[in-house]
Amino acid sequence: MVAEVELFLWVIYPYVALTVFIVGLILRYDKDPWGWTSKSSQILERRLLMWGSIMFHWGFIFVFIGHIMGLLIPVSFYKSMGVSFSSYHIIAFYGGALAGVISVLGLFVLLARRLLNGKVKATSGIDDYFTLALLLFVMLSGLLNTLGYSLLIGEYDYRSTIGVYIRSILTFRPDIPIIATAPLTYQLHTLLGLLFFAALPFTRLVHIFSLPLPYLWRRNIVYRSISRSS
Amino acid sequence: MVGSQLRKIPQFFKKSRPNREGWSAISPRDRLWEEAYRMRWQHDKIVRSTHGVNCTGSCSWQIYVKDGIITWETQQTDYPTNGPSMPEYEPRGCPRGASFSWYVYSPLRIRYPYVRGILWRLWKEALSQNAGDEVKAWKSIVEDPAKQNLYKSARGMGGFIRADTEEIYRLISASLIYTIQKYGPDRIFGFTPIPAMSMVSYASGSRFISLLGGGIISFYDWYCDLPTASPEIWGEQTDVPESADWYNSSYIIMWGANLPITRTPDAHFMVEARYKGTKIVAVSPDYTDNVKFGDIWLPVRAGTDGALALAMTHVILKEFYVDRNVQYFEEYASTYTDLPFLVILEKVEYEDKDKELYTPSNFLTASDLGLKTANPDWKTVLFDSLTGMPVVPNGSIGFRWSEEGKWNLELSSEGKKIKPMLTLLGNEDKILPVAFPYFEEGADGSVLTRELPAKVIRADNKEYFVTTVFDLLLASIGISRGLKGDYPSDYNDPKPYTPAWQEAITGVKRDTATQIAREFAKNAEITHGRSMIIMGSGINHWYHNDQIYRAILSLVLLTGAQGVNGGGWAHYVGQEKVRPLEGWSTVAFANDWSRPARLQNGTSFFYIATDQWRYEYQTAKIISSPLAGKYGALHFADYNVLAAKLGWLPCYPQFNKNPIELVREAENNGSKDEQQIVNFIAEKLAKKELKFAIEDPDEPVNFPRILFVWRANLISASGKGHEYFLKHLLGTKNAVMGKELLVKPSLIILRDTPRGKLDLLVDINFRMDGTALYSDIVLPAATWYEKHDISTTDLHPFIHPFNPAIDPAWESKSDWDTFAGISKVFSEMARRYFTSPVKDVVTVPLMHDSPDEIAQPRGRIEEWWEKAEKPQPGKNTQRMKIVERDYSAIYKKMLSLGPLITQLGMGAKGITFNPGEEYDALKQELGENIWQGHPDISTAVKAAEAIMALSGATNGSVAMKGWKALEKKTGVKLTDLAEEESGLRIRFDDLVRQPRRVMTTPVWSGIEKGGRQYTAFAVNVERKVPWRTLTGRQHFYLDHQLIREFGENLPIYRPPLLPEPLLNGEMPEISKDMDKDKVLRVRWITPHNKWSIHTTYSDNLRMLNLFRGGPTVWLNNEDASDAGIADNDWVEVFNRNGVMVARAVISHRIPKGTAFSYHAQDRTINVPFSTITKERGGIHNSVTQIRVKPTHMIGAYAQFSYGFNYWGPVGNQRDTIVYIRKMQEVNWAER
Repeated sequence: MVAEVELFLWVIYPYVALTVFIVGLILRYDKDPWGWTSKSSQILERRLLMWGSIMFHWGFIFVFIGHIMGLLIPVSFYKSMGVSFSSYHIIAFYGGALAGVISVLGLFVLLARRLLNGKVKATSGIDDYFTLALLLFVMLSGLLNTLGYSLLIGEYDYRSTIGVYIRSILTFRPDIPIIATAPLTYQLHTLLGLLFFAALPFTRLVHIFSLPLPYLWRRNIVYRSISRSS
Repeated sequence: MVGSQLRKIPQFFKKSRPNREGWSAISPRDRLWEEAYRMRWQHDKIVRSTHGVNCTGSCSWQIYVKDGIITWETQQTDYPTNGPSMPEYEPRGCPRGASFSWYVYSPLRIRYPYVRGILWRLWKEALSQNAGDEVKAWKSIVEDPAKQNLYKSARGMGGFIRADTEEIYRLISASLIYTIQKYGPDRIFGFTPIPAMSMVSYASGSRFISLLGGGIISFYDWYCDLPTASPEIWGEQTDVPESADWYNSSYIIMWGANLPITRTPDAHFMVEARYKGTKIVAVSPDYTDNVKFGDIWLPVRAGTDGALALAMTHVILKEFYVDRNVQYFEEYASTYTDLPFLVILEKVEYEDKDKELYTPSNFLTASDLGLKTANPDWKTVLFDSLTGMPVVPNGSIGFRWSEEGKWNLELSSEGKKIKPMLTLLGNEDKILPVAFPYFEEGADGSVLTRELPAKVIRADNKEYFVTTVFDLLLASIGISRGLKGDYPSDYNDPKPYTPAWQEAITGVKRDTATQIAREFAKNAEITHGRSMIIMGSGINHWYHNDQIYRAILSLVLLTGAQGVNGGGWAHYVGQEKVRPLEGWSTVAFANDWSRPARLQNGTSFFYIATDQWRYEYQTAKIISSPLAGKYGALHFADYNVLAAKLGWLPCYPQFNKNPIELVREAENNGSKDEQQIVNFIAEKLAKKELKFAIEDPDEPVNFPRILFVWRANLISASGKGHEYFLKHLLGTKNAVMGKELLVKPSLIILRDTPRGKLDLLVDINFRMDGTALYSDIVLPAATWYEKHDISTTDLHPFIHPFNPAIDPAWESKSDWDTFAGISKVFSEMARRYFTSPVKDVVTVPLMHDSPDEIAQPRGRIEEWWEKAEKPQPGKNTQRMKIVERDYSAIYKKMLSLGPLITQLGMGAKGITFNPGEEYDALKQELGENIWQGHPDISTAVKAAEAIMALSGATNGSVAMKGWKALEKKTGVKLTDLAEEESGLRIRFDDLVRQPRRVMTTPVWSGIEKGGRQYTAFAVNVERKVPWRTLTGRQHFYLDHQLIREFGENLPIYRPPLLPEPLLNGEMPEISKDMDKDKVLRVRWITPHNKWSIHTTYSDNLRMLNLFRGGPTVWLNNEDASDAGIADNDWVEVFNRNGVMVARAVISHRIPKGTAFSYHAQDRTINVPFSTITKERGGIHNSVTQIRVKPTHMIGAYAQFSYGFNYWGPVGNQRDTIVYIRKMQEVNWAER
């Protein structure tokens, strides 16, 4: 029985979630081009949004970078670069905690704004609340690890456990035991994180993929050709 | 397309090609995204249509259809130009009109035919019990009190089920046949308003019901949009300038008209006039949207506008007639008004019996002078200052019906030139003290005694003291000219009617009133009449609206502004200008097949039918003159009985007997022809074997039985006394709390409280509104974007078409098709129940614009029944006509144009012509498909073509025929006005291409020739065609006996009524626990809404989003804090008439002592339960009630003669007082 649950949680569920994520994104992009939006409510309220949005977004970006550093890049890489275990963890702990706390504070501001400002509330739908709540749960469960677990219980070397598991999933060689023995809070965060990816195509979060980066290097004037086959 | 976006992904990875300098690049990505924006403005089609009923703006719109769905509408911009130096009409249309496309697919849209489930079950049962005999089946339901009660008490309680259209038509037809056989066709009624806005739709039901012999109920008077002063002064229902003519004015007073809100597409002409220097004055009790356009604002206390106008009249008379002589004004007054005419002064007793006192009575006439001439009682007299002798000038109504060709305003008498004498002062024989009734708020009427000059006239051994109307007016208004009496000494003397006097009443500063009066007249003096007053419902919806209007209109008459471009009155309330009037009334009332139609005045009908008369608690004594005689203190309903028996007003149902049976009885008793049948009936009336139904209105045999409502929200939006409708007419749950029969009428038989008079209420509607919810049957109607029709308005001279942008959605049908369908089923069924055509006796009142308008000389009331005399139909009682009805041919007649117009002629307003050529042409154009020999009008477009082909405004040859007929009557050359357009005709297809300007027609009084703006009475002033009044001139003085009983011979001030909201003993349980300090007692005003399409459609999602989303009541901030009411609190508004529940809107804009509830907030959205009735709270009309004014019922006396929508008491609702309190608990009782 335990084996079946573990099979579901650590193999079936992750692949379903990632499939939904990828197929969902493709379908959304194809079927709903006009709905591909961040659904900004800046026109309705600016002051709180400025604080909440900036805090959340920058915090989130650093948290995201941290996850790439910690989960996708193997420990061996850091070793070869000469980054020691302890110095990595100092950077990850302070950097991660700071980014996480700022991001969560930003989320609280955004949530409060959505609930308390009449105009924003009147134009909010269930998807808006769901997105915020989901982000909040994911981030809080992450903070629970970075801050809570580290301070109360001690360092946990997620790079050689969770990171390995994530890479095993991405390389289609799922390693169940390594995740099944991880601490409960890390497991929870992993599951919520996967849910985040599954839900993303159906929310305003799709705007992540529309980051207007080409502005940084495009020509000052861009023409498009009238011919439709260019 | 699947993957269309995905296919573009490679584009992201291609490189762009930079130019040589590197500043720009050609992107590899395509431009397909632009298609979305291009497609946004691509449509299946764009169709020209407009909005019909309710809003009377008549704006041409483009309706856009995309993928078979109406998406939006935009304004048409192709109006013909107004010419150089004039602003243009286009674009017309307001944001409210632009929201209508939403309504086509609204949740309130009626999609299918509905019947109340209980009734349908009874019907099905009855059908099976009666072996499919539908008439017997209907009989078995309505003659069983238990069954009746079952479905009548369920009205308004939901429970509609869908049913098959054909089966519903059969039920309706069965009820019609049963009612005709049992009670007579005069128990069937139809109500629909404002034909101008969609003429064919109006005509659909009215044609069908007229062919049956049913009554069509008028609306203009019922809506209180009819300014009764207009018939009184001009003998014309309403005739006003088009809005572009405002631009021709150089001084405009906006008086109770909120132009930017209620005339949104036209308001720009007023604004543009300001740019060329026109002064704008706003008169309004609250700071409304139009006030901000004013150079000056006169914040007059609500309902006291007449006082301000009289003070202004005082100033104008003093400064422009007495102190100084203005030639233009004097010539205008002498030629175009009754001011020089002579009035007999009668001795009168008041208080001190020994004091010599006189009162003005009748106009002096040719018969008083003993002259041998045709209609001597109807030819009025004035003094000729050339000879110093009394003369009979041309143009009075006696000339109109004597065929002498002298009915004109040439200043001549028997071929000799005359010069009318305005005042007798200086030529008088005697100075006499004259009594003028005076009325103050909250006090009984009193009398002012003022001296004026008189002359003695001796003729036929009689001696008369006479004076001129001008002298009477000066005395009444309080300008002494050195004469003695209760005259004020100057403007600062607070005696009537000085600027100081009005200040205490209206709150407007005396200097301001004086200044505006002076400027208004000075401007008219310089420009020869270009001073204008734009007036509206703010001052018209009052009980004494005629007195308010007469006072205000004195200003434009005394300044020679009426009949001049840029001058005169401009009243735009429930506009009513059916420009193709002759053709429309022919089609609408089936005058092409049978005459006369039964045309019932609305207010009288509803006052009696909904039993509101039972709740009167005072007699007319409260408003009558202190000098009144016998007719000054009757029950208000008694006046209506008088009016019916004397032939003044229509009275359907007619008698307490089926009119078809009555004819049969007469024939069985040997009557051979119409004359003998009418004699037989007159005898029965004399012997009291036959009664008018109105004498016994609560006897079941006299109930109205079937009512069709279409294009209207009769029960709710326009149901003044809404709760009485529910209680008595419909017999369902209601909130009436008043006690009955506190004063009793003497001419009415009193019965037990009747409930549920109507057997069947059929509503044809596209909204599930207050009327649909209370109907037994609801048929889905096409909206304005789904049918063909035509529309005209007062506000511009164009005629607009309706065109279907889509087919009628779901199972809806155009009104024309619905009534055609009913008539088809009815005719088939009638074949079984009527073996041969039947004869119906139709009573008609003594009509205006017919020789009957001179039936009762001197306006003396002669009660023939008191003297046990046989009445003379057509003389002292209703005229009676026999009409043959072939019920099996109704369908064929409905859809083809009958030949009667070529036999009897047709016309309007007393102008008759023969349309023989036009009729023949129509046969060829429209075909003879329905009935060989008769033009086919089976579709709405064909009906519209027939209407336009038979009207002078749209067919030059018809206009020429009309002008020729009028030339003959007047002896004045007129045909040149239409000659240049005599070959033109406007067809439906022309309208679809571009709005078309109508032509100059004798049915209206403007001259459009040469691109002039339409202004009312230009023909009268420029061509000397008389007004259709007693003197042929514009009237200041009215001399009917009943007018004198109420002291209203001259324009005077009448304060608004102060009815008690609750009488002792009414609602004891409420009075008991009512914390008196926390209840407001305020006047109840129901103005037009900003957040709705005119008076309805506030349940439009967009409108609800704009303002509070449900019913509201506006209160003054101080009033509200006194009653502990905060903004957005739920409040209960109540009085003896009923209860309304709404949210409070608190604003300093609202004057103290007043509550505003914007018109027509239906009870379909957001209405909780009332704590008083424990039922869902009512509507703005739940607390109103009808108050009829006796003087509006006068008949058979020149301009005081009945005309449909022209004359009759008005359904005023502003003289209402209510209590308002905060609701302690709000119960939604959602199940």
